[in-house]
Formats: sequence, structure tokens, C-alpha cells
Amino acid sequence: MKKIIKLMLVCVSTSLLLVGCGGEDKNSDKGSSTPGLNRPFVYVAQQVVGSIDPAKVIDETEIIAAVNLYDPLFYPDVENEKMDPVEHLAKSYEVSEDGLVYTINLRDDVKFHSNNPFTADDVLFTMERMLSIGQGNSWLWNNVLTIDNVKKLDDYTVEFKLNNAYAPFISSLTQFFIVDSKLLKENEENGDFGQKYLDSKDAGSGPYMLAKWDREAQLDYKAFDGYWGGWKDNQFKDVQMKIITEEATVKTLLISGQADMVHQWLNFSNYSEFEKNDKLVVQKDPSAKLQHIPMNMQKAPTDDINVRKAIAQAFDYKAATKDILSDSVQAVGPVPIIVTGHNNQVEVIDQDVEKAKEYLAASKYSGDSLKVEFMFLGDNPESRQYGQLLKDSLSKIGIDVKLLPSTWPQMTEAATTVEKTPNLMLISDTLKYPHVDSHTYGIYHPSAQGSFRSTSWYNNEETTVVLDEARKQTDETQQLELYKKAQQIISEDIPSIYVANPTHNIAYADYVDGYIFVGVMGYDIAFYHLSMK
Amino acid sequence: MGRFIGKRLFGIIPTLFGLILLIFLLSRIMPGDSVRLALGPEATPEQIVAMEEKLGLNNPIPIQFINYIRGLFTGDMGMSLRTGRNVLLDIKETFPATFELSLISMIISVAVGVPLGILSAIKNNNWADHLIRIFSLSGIALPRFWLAILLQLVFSYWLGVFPVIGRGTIEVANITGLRIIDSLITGNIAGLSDSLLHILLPALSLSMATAAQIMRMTRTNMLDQVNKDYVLAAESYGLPENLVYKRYMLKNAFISVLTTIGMQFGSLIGNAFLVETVFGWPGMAQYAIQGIMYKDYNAITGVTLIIGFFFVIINVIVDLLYGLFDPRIKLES
Repeated sequence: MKKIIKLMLVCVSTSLLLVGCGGEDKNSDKGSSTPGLNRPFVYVAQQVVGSIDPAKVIDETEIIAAVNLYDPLFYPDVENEKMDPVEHLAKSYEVSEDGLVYTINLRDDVKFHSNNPFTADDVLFTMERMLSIGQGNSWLWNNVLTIDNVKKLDDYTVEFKLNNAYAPFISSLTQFFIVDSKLLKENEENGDFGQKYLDSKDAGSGPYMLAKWDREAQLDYKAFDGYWGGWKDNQFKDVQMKIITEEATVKTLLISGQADMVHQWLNFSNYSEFEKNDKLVVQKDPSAKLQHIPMNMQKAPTDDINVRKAIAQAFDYKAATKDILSDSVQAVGPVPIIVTGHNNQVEVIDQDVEKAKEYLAASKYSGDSLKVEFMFLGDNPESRQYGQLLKDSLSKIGIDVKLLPSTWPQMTEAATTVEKTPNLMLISDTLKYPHVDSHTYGIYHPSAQGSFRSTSWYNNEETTVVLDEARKQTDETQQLELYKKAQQIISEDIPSIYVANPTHNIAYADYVDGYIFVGVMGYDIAFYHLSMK
Repeated sequence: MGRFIGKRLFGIIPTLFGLILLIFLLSRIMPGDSVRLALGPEATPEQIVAMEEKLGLNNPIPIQFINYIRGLFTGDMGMSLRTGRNVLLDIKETFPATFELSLISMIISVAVGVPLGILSAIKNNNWADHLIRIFSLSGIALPRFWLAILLQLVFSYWLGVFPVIGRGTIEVANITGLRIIDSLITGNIAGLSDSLLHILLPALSLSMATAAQIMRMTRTNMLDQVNKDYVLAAESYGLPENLVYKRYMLKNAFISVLTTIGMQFGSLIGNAFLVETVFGWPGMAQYAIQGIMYKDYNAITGVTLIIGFFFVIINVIVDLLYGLFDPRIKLES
């Protein structure tokens, strides 16, 4: 027995010795060319990056990768802390009077990571690739563009001729990441537009090049020296994006100084804890996200406007925005308040149980014992709290709520038909492109039905006409007026309980400078904008 | 022996076929539209139809199953909806990390569990036995993920002696995919120590429950042997106590322990998921979790198949090892 114990001790000592002679500081695992940081800048993300092919990116982490590896034609106006698009690879643009022809002049000083120069051919190839692959953000242009209608006028000018007027076209180009056509054509396999090549490599002109990609764990970026925007000494030249899903680990990494910035999806209490740490900064901004509870307008009893009014009036907004969402702003209609074109004249509903009872009495279901179904993400603690809150709020007016905790695939499936869609669903809807159109036309136009965004099955002819008209309008002021009018009509129809524009939280080390949140998904994690103080 | 191995390997085929059939059907009847999820909320009906055709999801389920089985023979485990690649490629990249973690955990479990089990049996009902049994009970009762977070908090955050996450930061040549083995092969001492430093906490968290199980099994079986006639005879011949324990008692007691080790090793690969999540270990956990969340049919089937395959293989190995410990077990029979 002593021998066994001795053997165990020897094994443990040898291991410890080997471990000890590893001798490398955990914070200096790689060199970094950023003064003051002896390791790469570490950002912790919450979700695995499925693809870095700009024709396929769709989730937040994938868009973060695209934003850092590629350049779009237009970029949110980060300098002025606004989401509205400004020229990026585009130098200037003109729109025809009918709003159908966009002529875009391109920069002539841009090089791809391969050192190939950026020209109009790359824009044409990128759009052809996007529409042919038909994934990712291709839906933005599917119904308005055909590849034959994209023309090269000269090496640095392209013309897009739209099939129909599309007001958010320039905004949508913030999601149009240009690929190196020459490189991808050289690496094309069986006409795949270089998809296989982009499985593990990049073909962009963005500030960073892909250094290493460990699919389930980490994505490393290295500064592209030839970036047309240039580099300053205190910017982060080496960046690691680590994928960690466990909240406790994310916290430990940030507090122990092994990470410099962590994602926005932690439980609210974690950010409160970070706020007490004087070496960390927690930045809070109203987000461009709408958290709401759409009501199925084609299913009883929520097909009656008075029932919908009663539900909206009975809901406890204060508990939702203060307690569940940790001091978030109450939503004012369907469009988040930070979006240009938001209508702040829309009526904000507060909890009023007596008024709710009056609406219920005026409904065609008056006197009936009412029951509604409420579907939400069952594995999300905040969603579960919403369930209890709604059940409690509606019990005060005699409506019974059947809770349906579900998975995301179940929720998207339920959104596909009127019959499958429950009366109420909890939805968080992020702006898809930096334009008011995203949360008006994108949710309330009949063409949007069948997705999780449109589970109210809203269909008002007047709204449809106004939204169609808004898309055609080229004068920006008049265009925004039409979108505001649409918001007014929509809100009066009560298709949703508009709960909140949840606060966007992000935490980072106090030496990090330059973080700006503009509301467009993924663009706040553009490492190029960050630097050491 | 050869015939036995052949027979056992042949017996794997119906087991795996049953497993594939079950998982294949379950993943397809799970509620939710995976193609819509993969393409995003704005995907047009045409895009969804095109993707379904590309994946063969428009075929009846029996045809899909036949195509899947046919694909397996050519190394095609189907395309992952999330990564757009052959699932086999994705698994090839992530499985070595999970396997290495499970292997090291099993080594720790055996190295701790067997000696402590023997010690507990020898010192039956004295303070050492009670202490070991408390340790064993705790090992079984404490959830692995909780232990993982606790170890991380104490050793990585408070004491700062171990890294919080990852598999290693020093480059190691990729030969087998197992960093420890690869650094040994290439004589990369810095890489070896770096890998050990990274694997120690995850492996300890994962091995606690297994070590406890092995310890309890060893103790119980050793105690069963104590009053056997051959032990009394050996002792009456004046054989050294150590020799009696190790050569005679342990050898007889080890058959059931071996079964436990086999069963536990298979489940370690599955249990590694929770620990991998806490330590940001780049194994199959993230891949499997995302696969389930996205209802990525092929990824779910692929991961389950690989885990099932290893479970079965390990059981065959255990069957073969029985003969080493007990010659009465005739493999041919």
C-alpha cells in the first residue's frame, strides 16, 4: 500500500513539475503590438461562429466577424454616434427621381488582404454571389434586385437598378460585405463562388485578417497593415474573440483581467456586479431592440380589438421594465426610440386595471371565461418571469393565461401559420438594418407574415398602402413622415403589448477606449474603433 | 481470441444501426423548422425549398434514412445546417479535445479511485475508511459543473495558478489531435506542461464522480474477498499482506471494477459537455449544444453516433480485458 501511495505522490509531483516548468504567464500567451497590453485584446462572445462567409452570416457573432474582416459599401455613422448609413467603400452616390436607380462611386485606394485592388468588379461579383447562394442577408435584396440589373459603369462606378422602389436600399448596404472576386474566382470549385475557400479563410479588405479559427472556441484576428483607413499605435492589432457560454466563466475572465470586453447577453445582475468594480466600465445604452408581446389578431379572443386593448392596459409595464429588464425604457410603439424616424407621438399605454375591465366589457367576448396562450423561451429566466407577470396581470381582469415555455425552433415553427401561432408570444426583435423600415414594413406589411417577427398576423390595408408609399418616397423628410404615419395607425390597432427597448449593457476594462453603440447588430464590436487609453 | 474479437465487432453493427435509427427519427420528429432557423427569419419560401432540396429533406423519411446510411459508408455524415460543412469534418476537429479530456479524467479516476478503494477496504471502519467514504459520497453527490465552477474560482481566479479557459496557448504540432500525446511525440516540453496546466482543472472536475464510483466498487469487492478461503490460506502460509492484497484479492475484485471503468468511460465523453462549457474547452460540447438549439439534424445524429460508437468500442475492450484478470473466462466461449 505504501508503494501505491508513493507512486501516486511521484505522479502528482511529476505533473506539478511539468506544469511548473510551463512557466508562461497566462496573460502573455501571445505577443501583442499594442503598447500597454502584453497579450492580444480579448473579447468574449456568447455564441459559436457558424460561418465567416459574408454571404451566409446572420447571427451576431458571425456579423461581428464580417464587420472586422470585410468592408461594406456603407457603414453606420459611428463617428457621430448615429446608426444612419454613411459612405465606407462607397465614395458618394446618387438616386434617380423615381428611386429606382442608385449610382454609387467607389473608393479607389482600397486593397484586399491578398493585395488585389478593390474595383467595381468586386461589387458585381459580391452581389451575384449573394443572390446565387441565397443565404444570410440575401433576403434584403432578393425581391428588389436581379444580377442583370447591377452594372459596372467604370472601374469605380456601379449602378443598381431596382425592380421596385426600396427606401432602405442604402441602409441595407451596411450588410453588404465586399469579397475579393479575383481571389475567390481563383479558388472556385464547381461554380461554388468560393464557398469552400471561405469555409476557413477570409477574402476581405477589412481592418483585420483571419489569423486562426478554432471553430468552437476562438477566432483570432490580426491587423491588416495595408488597411486603407490606416492604423494608430494604440489600436489593438491582435484580437481574440473567445466563445464562452457559461456566465460564471465569462465573469471570472473579465474580473481576473484575462478578458478585456464581454458580450451584451449576460444576466442583468452581472452588469450590476461589474459596476461595483472600479477597474471595469459598464456602458448602458437604449438598444435598437423591441421587446414586445405580439397578439394574434386572427385568433380568438385576441381577434377583438377590445380584448387586445384590455390585455395591453392590464399589463404591468413598470414591473417589466424596472424589475425584469433592469431599468429599461418603455417602448413607444413598434420602432425603438433611438431609430431615426421613430414616432414619439404614439400613445404609451400604462397599467390601468379599471380601464382594462371596461374594454373587456365592451368586447364581443364580454361575459365569457377567457383563456389565452402565451409562448416564450422556456430556458430564459427573464422570459419565465414575463410568464408569471403576464399571468398575474391578466388574472386581475379575469383572463387565464396558459404558459407555453418553448424552444426557439418551436417558436419559429409556431410563427409559420395563423393556426399554430398562440395568442401571445414574447419576442425580442433587433433592428435588421439601420432604417425605420425594419420595424414597420419588416413586421407589419403582409409580405412579412410567416416569420417570428410577425406573429400578430397584422393586416390593415391602410397601413399597407402607407408603407408601400413610404418605400417609394425618395424625399427623406416625406419618407419619414409616412413611416411615422404608419406607426400611428399600427399602434392604434394594438397588435402588440409594446413593452420595452431593453437597455444594451456591455462591460469592458477601464483602459479600453472608443466603444460606441449605435444600435446596429455587431457594429459595436468593430475592434478597429477600440484602442488603449 | 481473434474469433472473439471478430464476433464482438460484428455485434456492434446492429447496436449502432439501432442507435442511428433511433436518433435519426427522434431528431426529425423534434418540433421546429430547422431550415428556417438556419436561413434566418427573413428567408423566402423559395430559399427554404431550395435548401430542403439541397439537404434532401424533401424526401420521405425512409429515403432520407437510406441516403444517410449510404453516406456513412463514404464518410459523409450529412451537411451541418449551422456550419454548412460535412458533419464528419466538424467532429474530426472537435472530438480529439473531448477524447483527451475524458482519457485524462479516466486516468485520474483510476489512479485515485483504485488505491483509495483498496485503502478503504483494508482500513475498514476506521477513520481513514470513513474519510474516504465521505470523499466518495461527495464525489458522487456534487454536480460536475458546480465543482468545475468552484475549482475555477479558487485555482484560477483567487489563487491564479491555473488558466480559466482553453486547451493550451503554446503551439503544438497536430499529429493525433491529442495535445499531450503530440507534445510528447515532438518533445515539446513547454507544450506538454502548458497542456497539462490547462487540462488539470477540467479533468479533475470531470473525474471526481467517476473516481468515487470506482473507489466504492473497489472497496466493496475487496471486502467481499477478505473472508474468502483462498485469502485465509494465503495468510496462513505467511505470504506478505501486500502480496495477498495486490496479487490475489485485487485481481479477483477487479472484474467488477473493470466493468465500472468501461461504463464510466463511455459516459465521461457525454458528461464532458458540462465541464467543457465551464472551461471553454474546444470539444464537442459547443458543437452539440448549438446543434440541438438549431435543430441541426445531422450534427445531432453525428455527435450521438460518435459517442455511442465509443461506448460500444470501450465495452468490447473491457470484454477483452476480462480474460487478463480471470483466465476462467474463456473468450472463445
